[in-house]
Amino acid sequence: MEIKPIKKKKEPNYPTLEFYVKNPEMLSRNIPESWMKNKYVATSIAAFILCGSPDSSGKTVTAAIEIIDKLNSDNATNESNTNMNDSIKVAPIFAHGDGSGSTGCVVMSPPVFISEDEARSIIFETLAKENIHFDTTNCPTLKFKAPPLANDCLKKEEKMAIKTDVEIKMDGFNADYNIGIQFMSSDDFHKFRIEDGCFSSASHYDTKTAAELLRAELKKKGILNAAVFYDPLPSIDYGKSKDWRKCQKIAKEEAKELLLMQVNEFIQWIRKEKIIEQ
Amino acid sequence: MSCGYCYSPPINRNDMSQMVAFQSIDFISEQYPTNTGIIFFGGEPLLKKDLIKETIEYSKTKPDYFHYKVTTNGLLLDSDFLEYANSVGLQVSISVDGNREAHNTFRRFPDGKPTFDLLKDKIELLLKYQPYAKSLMTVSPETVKYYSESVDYLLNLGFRYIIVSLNYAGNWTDESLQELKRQYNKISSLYEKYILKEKKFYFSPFEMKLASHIRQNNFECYQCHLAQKQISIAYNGLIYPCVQFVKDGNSNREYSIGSISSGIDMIKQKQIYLESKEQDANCMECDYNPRCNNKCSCLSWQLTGELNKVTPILCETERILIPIVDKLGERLYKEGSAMFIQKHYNAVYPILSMIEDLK
Repeated sequence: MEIKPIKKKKEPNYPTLEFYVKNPEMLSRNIPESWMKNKYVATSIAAFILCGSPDSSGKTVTAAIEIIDKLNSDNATNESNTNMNDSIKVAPIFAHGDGSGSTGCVVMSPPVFISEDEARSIIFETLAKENIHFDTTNCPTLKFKAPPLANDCLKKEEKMAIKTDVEIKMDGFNADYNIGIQFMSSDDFHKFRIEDGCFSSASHYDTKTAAELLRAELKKKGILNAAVFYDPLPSIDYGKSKDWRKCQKIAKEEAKELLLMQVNEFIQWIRKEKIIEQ
Repeated sequence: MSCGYCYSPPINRNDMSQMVAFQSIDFISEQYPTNTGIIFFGGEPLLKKDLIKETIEYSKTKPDYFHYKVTTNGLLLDSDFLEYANSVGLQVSISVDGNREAHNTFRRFPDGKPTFDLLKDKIELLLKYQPYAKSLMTVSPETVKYYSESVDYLLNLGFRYIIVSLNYAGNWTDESLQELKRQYNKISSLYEKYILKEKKFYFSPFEMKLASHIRQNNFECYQCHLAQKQISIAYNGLIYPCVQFVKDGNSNREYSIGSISSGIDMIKQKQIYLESKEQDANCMECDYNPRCNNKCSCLSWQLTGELNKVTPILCETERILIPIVDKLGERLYKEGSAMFIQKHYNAVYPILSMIEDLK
């Protein structure tokens, strides 16, 4: 026997702690069933999420609310929860891409945006290859109240203290399996807004948080199975090439790849949940 | 008992006196006053139950906060001692090598009689008083074929913490290493099955290797820092950097870093620490180096005579273990195992787990 140094071929394919530090809401997406059935643990988790995160943005509040909602739906006999249907499943947000970025003013690395058409093409063509087809015309419209994420003049805590009416028509619907699909584009993001007469020279986008809020609403309503994707918004790296158009193109390809990863993970999830049999 | 692989065989045996025990507490109280662990080891510590109790009672006269542990072969456990242990927060760990065949291979009385059958009731008693008690298992070339069965056996007995050490000094051959690989693969499937059923348990070889990837640079805090984070006090008050160096308390004085009467020899302490941190040149080239158990200096010393020279058998076993554990981690992550994610990525997992277990 001898000591043999190893030159490994690739990194292990499970994440490091850093991923969860950057995306703490992912912990709330993966809670053991046994914990959710225990009201003490579930309440503790919600409390830890609310108290433990230094960032009081919508995603941590949403995550905590989701847990409490689920707990209430499991334990309550309240008539107002009659819409909750245990067989309805809403996919988690498949986190590929930060889903946040800023444009305007002194922003050096703005994000690149995927248009609604580009997104629909990626999403529905990929699903069609799996023989899952969606109607993109006759789709349900969701109406709900949410914090005005798109108001740039408001601070985070101010946003969380206000609710505005949001109306979003879903991007795709499959009536056979009762599945709705929504792509949270930058345009959709702008619906999370109140008129406050404020104009800012810089605009901030957070499609991922908006997607999470929408997901929470879908779960709460419990009427249709659903998935919410979001514009990953990767930043344009102008250092990659002297030709700025090429830099934008590279970022666009990355954005599409990230969206495709979201869709592929959704396909795995939908099979695992047996919403659509293989 | 007279276990075949014991690092502290009963030769030139001496027991610590009450005076030395109390002086040790005085020393610890002066040097390490905050949240220090006191571990009673041997030999067999429960041969000196009264001294353990007296020492703990004495430590409670100090203003400091201590926590207590003891590792035992289990034969002298009884409800009186366990009631006392719970009353003072003394955590009891038990050495059990697995199923009957594995355990009786090495863990015998001096006359050669096996001890497994005497342990079953003791284990039941221990887990009744301390459901989170740790089982300490040693795996040798002769017992490796029982490894996965033994892990399953201990889990079915009710242990939630299984701490495993390989007997690196054993006669490992290519065949026994192949068997080790087979057994790790079996345990990997077992681990996966339990985690997917959301059954909580800790299996040290896998947990440490998963953590070594997941925690990256923060894994450093889990590794050995010889003579820095813990010391061992021999029966005569001599201080050693780790329990493995103590032997009979006298014959290994060159590695003593001081005494409870004269204090720590800081120069010697630093010298030993720095020597332990020097890395084998082969290890420096290896991509597994940050995750490898090659940092255990007392192990290196025991097997090669030098603090920083790694034994090839350790290299072989790490090269077997790490890929198997990584594949397990990948599978569990891909399967979206919530328990796996919470256990390894949620800093408050221990608290949530404890809350779940509260009745």
